[in-house]
Amino acid sequence: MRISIEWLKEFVDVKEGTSALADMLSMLGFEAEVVHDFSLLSKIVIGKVVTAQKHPNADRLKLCTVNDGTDTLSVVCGAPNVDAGQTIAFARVGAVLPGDFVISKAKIRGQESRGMICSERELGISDEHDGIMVLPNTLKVGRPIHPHLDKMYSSLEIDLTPNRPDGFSHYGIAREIALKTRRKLNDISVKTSNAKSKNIHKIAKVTIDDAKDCPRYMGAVLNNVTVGPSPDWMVDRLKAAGQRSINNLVDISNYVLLEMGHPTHIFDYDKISSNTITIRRVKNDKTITTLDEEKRKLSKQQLLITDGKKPIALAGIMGGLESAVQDKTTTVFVESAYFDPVAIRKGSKELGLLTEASRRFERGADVHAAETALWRVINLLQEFAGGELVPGIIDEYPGKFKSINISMRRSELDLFAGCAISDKEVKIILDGLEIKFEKKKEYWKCTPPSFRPDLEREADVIEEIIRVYGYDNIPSSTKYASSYVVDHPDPEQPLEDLRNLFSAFGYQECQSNTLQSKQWTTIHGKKSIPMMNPLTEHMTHMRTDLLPGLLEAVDFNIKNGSTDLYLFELGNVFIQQKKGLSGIKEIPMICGLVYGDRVSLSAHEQAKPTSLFTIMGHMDRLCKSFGENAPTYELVEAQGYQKAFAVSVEKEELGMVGTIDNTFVENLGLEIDNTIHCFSLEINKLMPLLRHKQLFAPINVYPIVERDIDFVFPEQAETGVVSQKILQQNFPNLTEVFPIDIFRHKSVGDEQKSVTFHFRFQHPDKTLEDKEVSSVINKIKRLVLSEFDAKLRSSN
Amino acid sequence: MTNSLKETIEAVRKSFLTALDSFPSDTHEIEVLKSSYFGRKGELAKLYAQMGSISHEDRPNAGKAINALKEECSRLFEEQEKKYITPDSTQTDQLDYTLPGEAQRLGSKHPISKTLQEVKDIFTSVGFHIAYGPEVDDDYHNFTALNFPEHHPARDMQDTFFVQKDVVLRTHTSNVQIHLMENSEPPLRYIVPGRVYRNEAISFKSYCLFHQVEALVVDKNISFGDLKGTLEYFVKRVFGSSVTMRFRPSFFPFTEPSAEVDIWDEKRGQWLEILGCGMVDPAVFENVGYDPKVWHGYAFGLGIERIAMLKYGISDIRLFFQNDKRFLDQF
Repeated sequence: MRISIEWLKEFVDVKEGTSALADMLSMLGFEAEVVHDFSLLSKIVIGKVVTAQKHPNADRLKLCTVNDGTDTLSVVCGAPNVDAGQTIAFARVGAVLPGDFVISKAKIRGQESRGMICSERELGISDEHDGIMVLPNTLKVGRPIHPHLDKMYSSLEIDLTPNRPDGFSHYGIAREIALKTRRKLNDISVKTSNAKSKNIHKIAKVTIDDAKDCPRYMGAVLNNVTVGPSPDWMVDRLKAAGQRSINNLVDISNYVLLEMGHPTHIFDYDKISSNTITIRRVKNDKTITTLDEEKRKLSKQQLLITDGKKPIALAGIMGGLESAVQDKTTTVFVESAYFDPVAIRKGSKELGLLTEASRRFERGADVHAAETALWRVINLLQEFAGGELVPGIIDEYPGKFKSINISMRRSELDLFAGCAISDKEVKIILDGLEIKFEKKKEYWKCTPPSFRPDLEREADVIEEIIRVYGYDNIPSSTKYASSYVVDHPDPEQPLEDLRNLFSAFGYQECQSNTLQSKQWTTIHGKKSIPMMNPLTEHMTHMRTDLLPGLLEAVDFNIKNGSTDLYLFELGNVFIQQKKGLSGIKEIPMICGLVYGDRVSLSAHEQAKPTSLFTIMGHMDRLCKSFGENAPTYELVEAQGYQKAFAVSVEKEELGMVGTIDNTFVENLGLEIDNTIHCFSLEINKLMPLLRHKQLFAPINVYPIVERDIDFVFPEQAETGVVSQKILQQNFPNLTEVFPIDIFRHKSVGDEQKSVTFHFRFQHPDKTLEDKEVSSVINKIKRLVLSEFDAKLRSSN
Repeated sequence: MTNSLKETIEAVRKSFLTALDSFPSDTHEIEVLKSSYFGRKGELAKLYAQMGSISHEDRPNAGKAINALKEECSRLFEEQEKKYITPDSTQTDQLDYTLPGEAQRLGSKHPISKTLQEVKDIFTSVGFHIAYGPEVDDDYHNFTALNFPEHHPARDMQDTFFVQKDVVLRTHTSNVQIHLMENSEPPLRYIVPGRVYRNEAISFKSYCLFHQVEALVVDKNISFGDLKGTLEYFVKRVFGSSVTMRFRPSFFPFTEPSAEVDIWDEKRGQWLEILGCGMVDPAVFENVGYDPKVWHGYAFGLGIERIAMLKYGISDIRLFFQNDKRFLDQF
């Protein structure tokens, strides 16, 4: 909402500069920003058009002479409204307009132009660009323009919170300023007439179907109205508040809305065929064409103003086109009502039509202000549109406002504030808020005004006291630490360990969008969760797998020049396992992939590509770092993988590792030219491992004895199985077995491979003797030769 | 020392010298030759292996002889080797120290994780627990129980993704407040981090999701001053003790009084909003069955992206979710 400073001054003395005022309001809960900085226009002066003639070489241009206070300059101007004698805003050569537009000397169609006569848009006041801005003749030629603009058009943009309908007007904001600065708040003056005759009732009747929807409906009729332009001061104020002037009738209703926040509507009386206004819900009505010339479909949600038969307005939202005032309108019916906030909100939501009126009604207007607003509109119509009031007004008021009493305890106020705010201070604040109160011994009995529907409970009043007292004046406690003892404050601490581990392995952590396309989320055949109101067609469902997001990152980075990537992400995937909310499973996962080289080419070494063993190495190390043995891998069938293995520790399956199938990447619509190996583990399965409590194991100080044995196996033999078999025998002092070399040569034999196994022996309490090791080595040889199709490779 | 051993030693010496005469020029063959004498199963190793079978008194001399042979062979081999192998930089006196060091792979944690961890550490250091909760929740926990009436403009404050009529992607982690209070008795002292969603057009300043940390403290005798003290401590820990901050009145349905915290940005000469906070609204306590006459509390919520953007000087929120290596490499 835009607030004109000049307008505010009608209600309260404003001594502050615009930005100081913005700060004050922000600190009252009305976040305010200064709209214009007219001081940037300091090079623009007040000028006078001395002569204005048709440009000799152009039909639409005028050749003018302008007096800028020192010189008379020739200026070419394109505005149709420029005329001799006008006082105007003149940008001299060298002046800078908003948007860094520098005025320079020019020749336009052969005529010299030394400066520019400005429009409102060029000065940043409004969007008006059809003509130049004509200033009052009282302004002194040659003076800078900005003091005048400051005075007339300075404004604040206020971001209003939804709980404060009362702040939705100049008067409401003035009330807050008066409250904070303790200055006087001037009343909105209205002249009511109390004529004896009530002719109004002969020519207009109002019926309300449901008092809940429309607790109050007031109306008045004015004859002999003349539609025409509004007075300059009104146009200027509307302009400063960001509104365009339309005509005096429309402007008056808008003016009252911006002045005191209460929406009113002016109908063309002659278009209300039955002279009866009925406020009711939609029955058989199908459509209404609103003021903005949109034909709108109606549903039972909508509250209507009808002429007894057909709808003539959407109550509290927008008037109908048919009943709207026109240039020829002579008699008007003025509506000032109070509609139920929920009814208006539902109607406005359903139509997707948010208006100045609906915004105010849905937050809760002031039922008492309906009367003031009606008289204010009547007064302005009388004064500026020649209207003559048909004696009497209509006031259907079936839903009487009931004021409430709230006890605000001194003890509770002190407890909330954490400091004592004096009785005197509380009194000043309550008075300023227009909250009526009686001071009792332990509490204040408060009655909030009708314009503050947000004040319903003790906490609401306490908030007001603290807000106005000033948050900055509340002393900060220094007891922010707690003495609660927390054993494991973060249940997800193990995930941080996991992040540390994978970043140590060289992976970069990613964060991808949870929302993906249906195709991506169903590619594994899982049931994904759709949005009812997706943001874009690529973000309709929740992810069921972290891999597509990471692959997208690979695609993106390849296109941006990366040749190798190690990426991982930790996050939830979402699967609809059964119907309803309880059937939605949020499964935390960690997924990672490697792409390209593990070691890149340098002066020191050759490039080494990543492989599935890169991933397996990380899995092995992961388990080892949490005190477990290396996991086992079992070949499994999995969609989207060339090869996939289930990863298990102690028979518990943690997830999968594998090499991604290229068609999977293509199906995602991605382009990745190289093989990708990946892992995907379920956090809940990993957790017991991650929570493993690591205890120190004593260090074995005795020497390690190392031996190698070369075996020759058929090509298909699996070295891991051999190692496992050996380890399972629990040979004395054997601590480690692993292959260190695989050799294929015709001397070994066709379809055969020679594998060198490396063995490490260590005794916990002594130095091992050769024969102890040799005897085990012999046993191992016998075991392998008998259990596998193996030979010993003769050492020459 | 037995003669046979002597002879064997001499034989090895001779064969070695012969081999040196026809020293290979191929790197691989040099390696093969080297290992056939010096390797684990090479000739020298075999000599040493024979030590076990000779008598005790002969052993010292035999050892000396084999050692001498090994020394001689090594020296001769190295001389030859130097002639035939182009020495690499590490083995010459002409070491090129201007070569780059060996490239090291270093991963990184996402700036959101890093910032979140920092925030968690600050709060756990002053006695907060950490709780987590669902990203998909019912309307009740995300809105109604938090005192967002069904047909109130407050609902417009957060654009919401709907999964079903009454099921939403949480718009804040405050839904976990309600779950916590439903399932435990006061006092409580928690922060709740997690992903939250807003159905807003994506731009440099807003994304359809972000990470929030919400805090809830419930106890007897909790005041607005306690909230201020806690947040001043937090903001100073994150942005440094010289930071200028202010508490500006605001509105959230689940707190009253409510405030937003701004910090002063010297560079841009303006206040920047960093978090929202307030005293828990008694209606929220009533909704979870806590007696608001006995219990008071405060809550606050902050966006991790927002903090990270200020900390690192990132101006486009979308960078967090693009997974651009050139971005990730910087953390």
